[in-house]
Formats: sequence, C-alpha cells, structure tokens
Amino acid sequence: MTTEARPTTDLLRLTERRMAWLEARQRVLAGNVANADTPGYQPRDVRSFASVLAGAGGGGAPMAATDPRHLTARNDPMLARPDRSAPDSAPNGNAVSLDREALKVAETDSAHSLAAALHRRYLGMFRTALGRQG
Amino acid sequence: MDLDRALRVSAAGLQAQSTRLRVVAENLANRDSTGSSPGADPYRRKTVTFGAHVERGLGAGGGGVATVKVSRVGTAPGAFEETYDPAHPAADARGYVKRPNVNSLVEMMDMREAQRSYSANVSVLEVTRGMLTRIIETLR
Repeated sequence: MTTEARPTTDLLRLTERRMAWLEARQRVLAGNVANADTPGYQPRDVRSFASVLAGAGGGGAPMAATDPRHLTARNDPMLARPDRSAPDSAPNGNAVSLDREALKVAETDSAHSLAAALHRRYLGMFRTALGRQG
Repeated sequence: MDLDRALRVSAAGLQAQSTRLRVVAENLANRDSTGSSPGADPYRRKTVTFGAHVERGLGAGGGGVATVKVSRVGTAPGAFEETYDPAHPAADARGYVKRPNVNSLVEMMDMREAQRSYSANVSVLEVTRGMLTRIIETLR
C-alpha cells in the first residue's frame, strides 16, 4: 500500500470492497431464505460494511496452513453471524421472516447497482484521460 | 465466489421445496387409499423435515452459510379414522374400514407454504443473477 494518496484508485478499491461485501451478504441472505422453513434455524447476517472497513486495516495475516483441509482461525470479516435483531420465532423455532429478508435483498441489490455504476464511472474517467470515448 | 454460492444455496432451497410439494401431491393422491385386505392399515401421511446443512467449504471457508436439505421424509403418527362400511374389502370383523390420516386442509396449507417459499427462493435467485450480470458488464 502506498502512502501517497491517490483518490481515484482508492475509490475504485472502495467500490470493489463494497461489492465483495454485498456479494457475501447476498449469499448469507440466500441461505436465510432457503432455510425459511427449517426448524430451529436462526437467520444470519454479515457484519456491517463500516465495521468491516474499520477492522480491515489491522486485521493481521491469516494463519498459514500446509493443507487446504486444515482448520484456520476464522478472522474472516465476512463471516456470517446470527442476526440478533431477528423478531420472535415460529413455534418450530425458526426465526426467519421472509419480508425482512426480502427487504435486505432489495437493499443489497440497489447498493450493488450503485457500487457497480460508480466503478464503471471511475473506469470511464480513466478512459477519458487516455483519450478514448468512455 | 460468493454469488456462485448464493445461486447454489437458492437452488438447494428450490430443490427442498419441490420435494415437499411432491410429498404433498403424494399425500393428496393417496387420500382414499385404504388397505386391501381385511383390517389392513391404510396409507399413512408422509411428512418432510428440512435441515440446515452447513457446507464444509475448503479453502476460503463456507463463511458459516447453511444450505438446506430434506433431512428426512417420515410418516405422520396418529390414529386412523374408521368408517363403517361392511361391504368394503378392507373392512375388519366389525365392519369398520380404516381411512388414511390425510387431512386435505392441512395438505393445502402445506402446499401454499411450499409455493410461497419456492417463489421467495426464485426471487433471490433472480436478484443474484442480476448482480452477476452487472459484474460481467463491468468488463465491457
């Protein structure tokens, strides 16, 4: 990482990370919807993007493994964790609410659209600087 | 890749719900299936149990996301209702026939729920596909 600030590439990196986070979240939400009828299932969510960004600086190096089957310490910031704000559960212990999940999916989708559009725009600026039609 | 996995999770949801629909169809179709010999047990209602199944992903880790699987197709316990029909081939010595323990109202409810969950999974699948398309379009 260079110490010299280069705003445009920083923004590119930011949108990339935003998209990676949104994709991880979409995967977790898909798991919640798929388990909407599983007895005893608690919905999950990833940590907020702000806290993932804040924690990313001093995250430290991952544990080395000589075999892909080794268990490594899970300091993966995108790890899904139980969603504590979930409303009360159904009699079978399932706490997934489809409307809540639908809302989150819609949120994720529009945020992803925004991040992808920003990414394209910035790349377009590079193209303009190189003298091509962006 | 996350979106890829999201697609797979949704597909597992679709598969589980369609298994459930299949079992509902089976139950409804056998609503009147009595035994064929005197005093024999009739059709017993089948039930589907879902279980969260955490994929033990290698390398980058499953991220703690659970897909869904039909963990068990069991049968519903409970007594059979008996109707008096001495002429029936399955009638016992007293002239009573055991009827299957299928309640069509319960089955219809189950079907509705399966249908709703199925469409929820389809919607998530479509959104995920949209995200994937958007990523591919950044290459243009």
